Amino acid sequence: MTEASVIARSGATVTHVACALYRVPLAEPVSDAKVFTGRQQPLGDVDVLVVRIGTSDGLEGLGFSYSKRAGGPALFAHAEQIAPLVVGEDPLDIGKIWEKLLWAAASVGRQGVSVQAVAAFDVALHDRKAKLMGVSLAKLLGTYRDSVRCYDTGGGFLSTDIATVIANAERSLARGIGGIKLKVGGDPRTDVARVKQLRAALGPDVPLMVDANQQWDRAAARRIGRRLEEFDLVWIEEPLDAYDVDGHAALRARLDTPIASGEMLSAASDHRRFLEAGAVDVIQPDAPRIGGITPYRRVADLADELGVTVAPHFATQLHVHLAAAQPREGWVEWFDWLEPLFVERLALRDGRVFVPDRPGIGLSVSPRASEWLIDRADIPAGR
Amino acid sequence: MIVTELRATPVAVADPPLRSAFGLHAPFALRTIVELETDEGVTGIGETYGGAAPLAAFAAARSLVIGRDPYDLTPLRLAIGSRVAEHAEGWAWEARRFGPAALFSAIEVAALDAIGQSTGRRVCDLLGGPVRERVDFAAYLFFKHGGNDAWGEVLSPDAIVAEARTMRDRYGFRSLKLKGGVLDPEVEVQTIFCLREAFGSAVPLRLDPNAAWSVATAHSVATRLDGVLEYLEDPVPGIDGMADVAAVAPMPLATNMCVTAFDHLPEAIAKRAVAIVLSDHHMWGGMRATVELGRICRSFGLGMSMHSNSHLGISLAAMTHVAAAVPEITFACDTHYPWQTEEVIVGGKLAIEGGAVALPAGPGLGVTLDRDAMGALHEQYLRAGFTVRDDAAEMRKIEPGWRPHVGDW
Repeated sequence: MTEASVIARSGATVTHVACALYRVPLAEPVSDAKVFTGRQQPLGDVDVLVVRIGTSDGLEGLGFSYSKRAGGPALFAHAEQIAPLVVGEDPLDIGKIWEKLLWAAASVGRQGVSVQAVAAFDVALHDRKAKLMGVSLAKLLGTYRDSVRCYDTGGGFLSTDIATVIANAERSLARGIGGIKLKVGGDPRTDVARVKQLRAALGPDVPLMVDANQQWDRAAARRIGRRLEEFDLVWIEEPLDAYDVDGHAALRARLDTPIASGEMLSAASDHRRFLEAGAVDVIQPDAPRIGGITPYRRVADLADELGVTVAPHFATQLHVHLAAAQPREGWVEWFDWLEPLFVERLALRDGRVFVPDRPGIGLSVSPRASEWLIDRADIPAGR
Repeated sequence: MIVTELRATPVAVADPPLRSAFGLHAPFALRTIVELETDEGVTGIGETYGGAAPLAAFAAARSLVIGRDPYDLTPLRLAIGSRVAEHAEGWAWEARRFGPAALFSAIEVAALDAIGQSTGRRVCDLLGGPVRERVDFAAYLFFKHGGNDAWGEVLSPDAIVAEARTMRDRYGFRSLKLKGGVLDPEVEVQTIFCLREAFGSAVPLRLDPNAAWSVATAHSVATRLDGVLEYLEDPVPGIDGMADVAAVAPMPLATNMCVTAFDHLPEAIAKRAVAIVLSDHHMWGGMRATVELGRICRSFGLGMSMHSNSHLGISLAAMTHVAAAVPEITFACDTHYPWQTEEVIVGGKLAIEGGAVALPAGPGLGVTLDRDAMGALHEQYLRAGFTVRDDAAEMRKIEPGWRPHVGDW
């Protein structure tokens, strides 16, 4: 008997894979500091790659990855090319499949589009594994809580005047959101004034964060950061360039307000550098952006070991599961941008998002989504 | 349309102490109420066997059902089949073996109800359209112990005649089915003669001893009831035994025991074991499967009737829609419905008039779940003290050492 033949299979194999790219429109275009400084155009839609993995036991896992602005078609093309490699695999061998898909595209690297395409497969395999057990993804990983603190960024972009920001924040709090994040990174005096107005309007008890979207240099971050200390912020997010590990570490050493960063990093190895350098108090990995749940868990475990809070970026529907399975409670970011794509809605109350009581991630693609379908591929073809 | 939740609620329904070859009905019949929520806001409902095994199966099925289009029924059936190895399920009503066909069926009923509500069409329309607007049912006559019910003890031919008279007076039943296998076969033969004498030859009679008898007894009974029985149901166990009886019996043999799945048909047909198949959408894999069974029965010259278990109005509505849509169901269907007084549908029990149930008018199944009533019956389930039906154990509470007859009476 060969060694291979004695390794127990799970009893199921991947029989088919469906990849689809959707361009999901936002209710209205949004701008952060990167637009005001001329680096980016306003964001009008989000490209979402949805991968469905069907297995011989009748289950289907659903995973997704996404791209804001350019990159969606590249994500889809990459996914379409690697999808056939999953067919025939044991769907429980998630790590092995992750490596296989990464190696298939080793020439284009271990970060960015290359891992972001793999992320959709990785999430789908985790979704299916949880469905196999009939439990939520959070429960599959092991929950510490049934819900996670959440904050809202939707109402506080730079393009929004402060009166509207305050009104939006009050509406968010009223509908059950726990904290409010305000975009900064424009004119420093205006930024500080807006934070002051928002804090005055909401009172001392509402958790407030600010997000500079990498628009300050080290000196500006120090100076503005010091002026923001009095507002008792939960964190200052992305004060510096997303890859400036040393700058974040130095800033963190000089400010009491916690420093958060990590959303723009597109590989787990980048997160490791931030964590090992002690550059942040709050790390903000984004599972689709760094290759899925497999690398996310490595980042989250290391962060936890180092006493760093994990507050995943975007993709609330997925991250609520991962944050519920994290020993130290972090935050999830409440975003409704992806909502139209899916049938289900997350429950939100008392400042918290609740892990849905459905098997897997608990998401299914809405029949409405077909209007936003850009491309699709089915493997094997003609299924 | 997308399924957003699959919920299964166990309920216990007060049940009189009815006797059969398997023993005695417990004070409660267990059922499961199925709800399929959709993104369109409509919730489809269904009803099936009760107890622990169905609940476990529904819990496991959520992964296959949630997120799926309710129209996606054949792929769902295949998915359930590939999760749970298909096997001929046999006596599924015992609910110990709640297999893939029963599981799929319960979900299919709720899915068709949801589709019907969404499209404004009746379930019978979705099944191809009704060939009849009213479905005939038979009075289901049971020997029984005295209990907390208005029927009293029924353990003699005369008492059965009185029971039949009450059934006919209340519901207008035009066919009578006697559940046998309870008293000595000789007494049951006498009971049939008494029924014939009381109601005349215009009222078809059936006898169902649930395979309690030996082939020799069955030969003898069949010969003596020539010209009296419309059909003899499951006199003996197994396809081979039924074939032995069929070779001699002058009347058609019917079954819901040796042929309970499509896989049983080839052998039963080849051995000419049965002439009439009792369909049951709960057991045979759904309402659409029952339509398919009708065509198969027609092709092989088999008659078709319908089997029943203790059930509530959701099941009765589903049975009525199926029977209305299957032209081959020409015999009055079985129903236990008059034996249950409790209900889970809005408006209380469906009417049986002239021995028939009219197709409910509304879209879907045409019946609506009464959530308060379901809640009360769920509480009753929690208090019932058992989660697996065991008629033999119930009988042994009265007669320690009691054993069922299986092909030996």
